Amino acid sequence: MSWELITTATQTVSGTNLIANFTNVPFTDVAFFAIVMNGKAGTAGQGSNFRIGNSSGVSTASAYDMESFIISGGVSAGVSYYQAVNQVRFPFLAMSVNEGYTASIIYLGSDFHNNDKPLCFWKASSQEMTVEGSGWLDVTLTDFGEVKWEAEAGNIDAGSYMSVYKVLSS
Amino acid sequence: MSQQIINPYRFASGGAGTPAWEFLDSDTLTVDGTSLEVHLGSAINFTDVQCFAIYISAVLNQTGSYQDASLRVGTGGSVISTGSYEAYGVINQSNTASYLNSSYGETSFRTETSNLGGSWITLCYLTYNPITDFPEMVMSTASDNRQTDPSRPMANFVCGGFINSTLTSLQDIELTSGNNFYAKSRMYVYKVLNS
Repeated sequence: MSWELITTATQTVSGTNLIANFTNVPFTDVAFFAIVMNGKAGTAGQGSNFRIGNSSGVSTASAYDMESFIISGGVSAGVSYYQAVNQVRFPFLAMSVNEGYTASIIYLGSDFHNNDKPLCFWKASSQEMTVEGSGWLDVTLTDFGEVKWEAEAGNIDAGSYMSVYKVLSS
Repeated sequence: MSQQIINPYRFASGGAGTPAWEFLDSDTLTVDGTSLEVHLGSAINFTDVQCFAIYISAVLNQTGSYQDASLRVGTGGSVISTGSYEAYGVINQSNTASYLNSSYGETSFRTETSNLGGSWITLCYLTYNPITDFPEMVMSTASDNRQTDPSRPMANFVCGGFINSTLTSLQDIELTSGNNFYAKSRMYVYKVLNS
């Protein structure tokens, strides 16, 4: 099968973040990666974020850009758009309509021609909202080895988990 | 109620239930070129799979003019190139949306559009409708090329569509553009099993 589980990190005690760290996998060795997050992340009205990097740690550069649209409010079906540039992480679910409970999948690939910079897109839902978004990290990253899911405020609750897959290219 | 119990993405916790994809073939450019093409050794019936997945990571040389990147599919050695492709979606860029709803009768599905910068990844799920025998797809794209043209900032692009033409098997997948693809651009094709 082409999807191989790299690791699953499960939150055993509530904390401000959840980290999946694993042996570096070169972007050139795979087609792309998939990251599944599930649980309760962040205080209601604050939501959560994520960062990526190699096995030495995630990038903290102010170089995370994203574009997304948010559909929220079951009654009003309101839609809004969310642009964030030069952030220190992807604020992919850090929206005021996020009530914390979250399920998301992120597809992560590389732009191999333009200096090996990561591109990703995600589909995410929380109570009262759903998001389609894309992200770009203006940092060269040839290996993937860590993803850090962070609450904007509050905690990632115990029982939340994050699974990282590689999708093979042959 | 916890969101967890309705999570459609709960593929696995420890490995069980990993999505059943099988790699079929790929094309990676070693030098700049005009197209990415996958031609499978034999056609695969849509009825024999859950769907197909097509992943693209590519960069266009958009110097001089901005062009779309056109995805076409077919079987028997050729792709459908008649004006029977339709797609509807939204491009989110610079905190606003533009809608792709005018593509009735187009000759391809667009992955990269001329609104975008020329550097992108796309994942397209392709299946067909068993009532009409028409192919159907959904796709997501992340694009960025601020590196070369600040007027085209990064974008999120999601759309769905179909081909108003009978296609019951897949063998040929082509991505073309009016501009050259840079070397290292690539396309991977998978089948997603239904049993």
